[in-house]
Amino acid sequence: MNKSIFLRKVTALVLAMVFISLLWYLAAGIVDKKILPDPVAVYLYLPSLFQRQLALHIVYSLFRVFSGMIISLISGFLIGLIMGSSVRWDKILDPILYLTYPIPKLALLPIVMLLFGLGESSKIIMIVLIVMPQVVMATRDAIRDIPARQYEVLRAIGATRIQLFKYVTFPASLYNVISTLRISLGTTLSVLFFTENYGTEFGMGYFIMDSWLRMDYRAMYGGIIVLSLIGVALFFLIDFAESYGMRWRKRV
Amino acid sequence: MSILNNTEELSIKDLSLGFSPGLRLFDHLNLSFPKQAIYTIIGTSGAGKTTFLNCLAGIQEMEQGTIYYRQKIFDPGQHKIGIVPQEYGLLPWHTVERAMCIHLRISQKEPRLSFLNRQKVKLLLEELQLYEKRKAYPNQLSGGQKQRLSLAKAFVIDPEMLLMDEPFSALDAFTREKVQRLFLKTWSDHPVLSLFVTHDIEEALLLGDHILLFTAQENFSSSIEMIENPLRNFSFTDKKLHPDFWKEVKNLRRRIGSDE
Repeated sequence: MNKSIFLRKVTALVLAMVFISLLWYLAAGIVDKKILPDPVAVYLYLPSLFQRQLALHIVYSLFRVFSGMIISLISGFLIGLIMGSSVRWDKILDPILYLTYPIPKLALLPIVMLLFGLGESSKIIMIVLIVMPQVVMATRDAIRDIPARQYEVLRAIGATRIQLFKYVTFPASLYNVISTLRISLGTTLSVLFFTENYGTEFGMGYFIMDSWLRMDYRAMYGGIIVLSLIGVALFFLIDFAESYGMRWRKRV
Repeated sequence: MSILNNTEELSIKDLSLGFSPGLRLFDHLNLSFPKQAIYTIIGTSGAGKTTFLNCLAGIQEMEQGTIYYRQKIFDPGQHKIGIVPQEYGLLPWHTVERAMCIHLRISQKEPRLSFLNRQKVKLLLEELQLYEKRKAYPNQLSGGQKQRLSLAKAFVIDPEMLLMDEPFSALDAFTREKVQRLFLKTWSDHPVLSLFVTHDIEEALLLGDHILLFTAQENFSSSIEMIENPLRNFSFTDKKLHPDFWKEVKNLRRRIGSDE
């Protein structure tokens, strides 16, 4: 991403944020109740939240998201690789993937909590359950779509299997995997929010629901804004990784 | 058939290949490629031109038969074979220069490129008029540039054999002629046994020292005939202007039976 494009993007985002705040401001004026404080009050209240360990809540949430995503990436990529390069394994694993894909994974939360306890692991496992199958499919489909010619040209000059993987298979699947991560980011944060209501006193999900129970609405709205900003930041990070790693897709 | 003679580059003995028991594409085929030259291959579709190249590239398994390369049994896995496919065979994530270097590194089985090799990459890119584009990715190149890169990649490794499957057929007429000339020029600097499949009879005459005619027979197996290009001693331009050029085109067209 070059500098001027980056600046333009940031400006557009700031403008969008101002616009949404404006709508919110108008709505707050019309409703005029404590349950919908106006945005200025919420923004001004934000700094004081840090005295209530907001930073620690953020760190907990980020830790869960990153662990979940990294585990999903690595395991999903490996399984996708096996399925994409071996017809036999694809035949065995594909029905399992097909059958389990539509199951609402959130419904499995009680089982996961019973099996893995109320701690960190069950929260991370929930994220993995949702993101990993998508990474598996993205990787497998990308590998299947590679034209045989691309391997043949390199094999004819003596490329080893490792070289074929390094120069063809891996870069070919990377793009699909990154766009999958982007798509699944929204779901990941929703799951995070949900799981953080159980068995923890840290994390943005806990912070928001706790503020709600204590009827501290400015803190609740502030928490929602912070969680949204985390989402935006992660989105940005994925975008950056994509534009850096996929320079070859640009037509100049 | 003659016994192996000592100057033969490549010879194919008793090649048989079929896709089902009743259908034999090649039936006890014998062919010999005596010289380090360009052999263009034309013929009716379904006569096995691409399959033939695939046998040499080791992509297609043979049912029976032996291939000899310079009097030794030819094992595609042990030789450096440059493939130039119609769809360029480029990897979109490698720049022009990187694609060349990776090709060299793979074929030499060495992780680093020597100074000499870097010079070679530069020279070939200059020769094929790609040096200014060395930092570009394939989707920033035109069709002609992509095909030139495909050629440069094939030549840079000093291949023992060049297999080209309708490499220029996706290009427009002007670009094609330019690439054809560049190919001939590059080839004369780096001569190598080249097998060049084309559906364009003019191209077969313009580029080939010898022309292989593949014709499908009624029993589905194909017959292969090698003829010497009567215009082989003329330059590209002279061939085009030669009074016999169109006569030969017509003659070849009749022989592969595509003028009915």
